[in-house]
Parts: sequence; C-alpha cells; structure tokens
Amino acid sequence: MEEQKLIDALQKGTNQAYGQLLDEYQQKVFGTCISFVPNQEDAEDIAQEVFIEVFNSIAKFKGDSKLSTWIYRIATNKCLEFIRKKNTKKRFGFMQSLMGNDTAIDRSAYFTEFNHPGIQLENKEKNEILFAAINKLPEAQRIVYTLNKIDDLSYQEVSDITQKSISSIESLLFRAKKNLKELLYDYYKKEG
Amino acid sequence: MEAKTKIDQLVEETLESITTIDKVNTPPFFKDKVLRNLSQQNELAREGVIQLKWFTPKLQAAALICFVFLNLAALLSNNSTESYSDNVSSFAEVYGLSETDADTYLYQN
Repeated sequence: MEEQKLIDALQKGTNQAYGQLLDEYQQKVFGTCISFVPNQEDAEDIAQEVFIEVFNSIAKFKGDSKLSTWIYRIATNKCLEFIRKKNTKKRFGFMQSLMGNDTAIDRSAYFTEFNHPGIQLENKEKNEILFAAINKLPEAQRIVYTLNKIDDLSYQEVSDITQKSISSIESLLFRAKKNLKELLYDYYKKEG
Repeated sequence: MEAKTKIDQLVEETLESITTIDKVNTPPFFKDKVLRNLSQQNELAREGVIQLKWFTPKLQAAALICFVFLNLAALLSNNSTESYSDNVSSFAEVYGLSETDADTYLYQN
C-alpha cells in the first residue's frame, strides 16, 4: 500500500516523492552498479543515470512487478550497456579480436580502471583477477553471478530481476562458477 | 602434481576473495546531484518546448515545402550542361589554360 502511494506520488511528479525514492533506493542502486562496474566514479555516474531513467519512465510503470525489482532491472541494464560500450572500445583499441586471445583473462584490457573502495588491499590483486574473469563470462551467467555473489541478492530477487525461474538461476550459477574455475586455472597456469 | 594443487588452491582463494568485499556507501551528496540533474533536465525540456512553441505544424509544413522547392530549383539550375561548359571555359580562360588569340600572338612574337 505504501509502495503504491509512492508510485502515485512519483507519477504525479512531486519533488517529495523523488526525495523519498532516492532515500530508499540510492544505496541499493549504487551497490548494484559498483558490483557490475568496480570503479567508484563510473558506478556513481551510472547510478545517477538509473534514477533519471526511473523518474523519466515512472509513468510507464504498470506495477507488474515490485518497484524495487523494476529499479534493479533498470540498474542492471544500464550497467550492461556501459560495460558493452567500454568492452567494444577496448577490443577495437587493442585489435584483440584479430589476435584471437579474446577468451583468456587480460587484466590490462579490463573495461574500466579498477577502483573499488570496498576491496581490502591484501585482496586487491585476487579481486582484480576475479572481476576480469567475470567479465569473460557469457552475459546471462555474469548477471546472475554478480547479483547473487557480489551484490548479495537472494535467488528469489535474482529470479524476479532476470525473469528466470529459480532452477535456471541455480543452473546459471553452477555454470558460471565452473567457467570461472577454468578461466582462473588457465590464467594461473600461464602466469606460472 | 604439486603445481596443479597450488594452482587449484589459488583458484579457490580467488573465488573466495569475493566474500571479503565490504559494502560501499553511496558517495556524499549523491541525492543532491541527482535532484539537481533532474531539475536541470526538466528546465531544458521546458525551454525547448517554449522555444519551439511558435513553430506550429502549419509553419513546419510550409518550411518543408520551401526547403524542397529551393533544393529542386538549385538542382535544376546546376544540371543544365550549357552553364556547366560556360563555367569551365571561363575558368580555363581566367587561368590561361585555354588557347586564345592573345596566346597565339605572344608565341609568334
């Protein structure tokens, strides 16, 4: 009921409602953004874009899902859009696709400068390698793994956001973990 | 064998390192920045609407017709071969690229 009142107020465009929405969701949205894009400045920019998008399209929100699910979906899509753009630029920049080493972990070709304030110094290198490996996963696996393992959302929440069944989420997570193990094994083997 | 075990251990440690990531708080003034961006966007949208209010659909249609007419006129006038060859010969004359009577006299002298 409370949520419906907030949605009505947002659709009327009251400033108070905008403020309330920001108070309730800024932490969640920023958390999701920095989970996908481990750079504070980039994550902040994307989170701002998410809220602008939410305010601009709230009139189209029909209430088919929870407001939080809808906002998470926008945040996820914005992050993926950002990563796709940056990955394309990097790929063209280094002509990686021509050299055929596009499947291996390459930290230097990561789409952003790694700057995650939540990462402890002693784990920085391992986390950097892990994020670079996650970036090599197929998109569906990457989304599910990031939302569940990094953003700490439950299976049910991930299922609502991705509009997939819980069993699909479990299967995607299993495959993501398996692929990550293979990618990391190859990386450490090469590093010697 | 030992190397494989070592790599397996590194892989496990890397996968486990995800649990050590701390929650990051929203940067300060995030809310203010979003609200400011939003009001700026609204202002721009309002200005855009106000500035283009006079440009009614009738005027838009008239402008489009004028544009098409002027383009057609320019295209037709440029396409006539006579004016093109005139232009080429006058260009050649100005830069001394064509054989004229004056040239002939000069060489003869």
